[in-house]
Amino acid sequence: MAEADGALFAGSVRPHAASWDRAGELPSGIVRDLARAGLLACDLPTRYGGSASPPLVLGRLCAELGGVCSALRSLVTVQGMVAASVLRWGTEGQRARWLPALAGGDLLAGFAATEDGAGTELSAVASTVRRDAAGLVLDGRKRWVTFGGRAGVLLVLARLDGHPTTVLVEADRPGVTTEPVHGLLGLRAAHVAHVGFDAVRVPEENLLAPPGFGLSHVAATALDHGRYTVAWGCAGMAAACVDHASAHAAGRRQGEVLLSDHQVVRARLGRAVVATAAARELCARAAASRQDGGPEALLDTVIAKYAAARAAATVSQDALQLMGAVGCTADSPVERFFRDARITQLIEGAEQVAEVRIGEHALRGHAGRPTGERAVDDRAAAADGPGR
Amino acid sequence: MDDRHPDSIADPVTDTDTVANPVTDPVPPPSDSVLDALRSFLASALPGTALGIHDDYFEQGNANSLFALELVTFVEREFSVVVEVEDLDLDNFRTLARTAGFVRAKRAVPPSGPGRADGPADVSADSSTHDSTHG
Repeated sequence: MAEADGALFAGSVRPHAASWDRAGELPSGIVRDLARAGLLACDLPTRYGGSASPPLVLGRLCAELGGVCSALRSLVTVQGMVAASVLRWGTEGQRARWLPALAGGDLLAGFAATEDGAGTELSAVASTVRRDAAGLVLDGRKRWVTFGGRAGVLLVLARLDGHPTTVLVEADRPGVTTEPVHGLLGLRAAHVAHVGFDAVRVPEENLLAPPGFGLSHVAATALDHGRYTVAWGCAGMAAACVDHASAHAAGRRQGEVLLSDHQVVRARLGRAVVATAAARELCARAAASRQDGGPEALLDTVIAKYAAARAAATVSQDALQLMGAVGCTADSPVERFFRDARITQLIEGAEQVAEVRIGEHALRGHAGRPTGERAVDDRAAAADGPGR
Repeated sequence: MDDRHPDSIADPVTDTDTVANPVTDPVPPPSDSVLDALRSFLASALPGTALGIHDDYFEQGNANSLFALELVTFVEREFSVVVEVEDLDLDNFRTLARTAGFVRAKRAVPPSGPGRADGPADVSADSSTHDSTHG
């Protein structure tokens, strides 16, 4: 089962996560290692190289990885986002071509949607795809592409004749350039890069879904899947912070008094435990909705991601507070979690956009629209920043 | 507008510009469980949107970024059909009449029938696919 394998794998890489973060990269063999452990796109059907893992198993795997290294969890996230999009909206030929390579680790995927002028508002993407006699030609500049510096294939959101369109672009095609982003607040080992496309020729068969459906269906599928795995990763991160903070409080003596003997310390831990458990339960609820396959799964996933990212951010902050200077050192996992958690409040739908979506849903079933226009009028609940 | 069945109007319609094509669009029978289920879903998902059978609900601008996939997953689960990439034509989904027509046409085609050999039959035979896609 991917979940048990995920726990094993997470345990085996735990000693290295801090140094990966410091170095700003994951080891080169990590994609193969993840694939060999059955952890890449494990929710794909077996005929495409996956394990047909149900949503709950995929989620728990991401929680295991998230509790150790968010860059690693991000790798599983982006691979899963692109795999889910190809599975959902690819032709059989496209599925057969791309999915086994993604599950088998032959190919690392990236999702290139954000631009300078299109973050939360992805309908504003300005990258273009045009058709000529020889096929497709892609031009544009994408920002904050997670694993953009390492990916072998990029799912790119652009416009064809004005219509949002997605195309799979191999990174070794002439005209593709990458510019690594260094010094990010978090997800430092996730090979975040800006990616340029200058008159990149792409065969017609790399077009994923018809023009016009690239945002509402393909990117939306990718982002939905991404939210789901990010949510579980955050739940895992929060749980790890509770663990680290508790261990510290139980063992740290100041004068004659254990830190854990202070009521205020216990109270803060209690708050963190509840936030973590609530996040995990909302993730489990999203898992059940996704298993069920109904339309509720979309919003339940937004809710889970929103709550889990918040929980990871607040619990890591509380853990840092409890651990004091020890927690703030470069080798402290909590310091790294604190930085990574903050990023998760931006990616796959900024917190504020999620709140608007959830609020809109609350208004359903009540007559009429709320007065005035929507405060955040987006077509895809995506956000600026790294992590996609 | 005249051919719209009275029961199909969930909300008062004042904007005739939203009518897609009353002449050529399919007209569902007066009592239609597919249409009723779709209308009920859309009335909830798109409050304030005119839902006459030929009203283009995408064009009215009330859909948020989650709506397109909510509609796909609703149609799939409610009517036990699989929406494939080949079905991605906005003309299949832009009005109640067209979406109901799409569902009826999908149901009329046996899953293993001709023209579906490139995926859907295979996909629907593997229950994990749906989970993978949405989860």
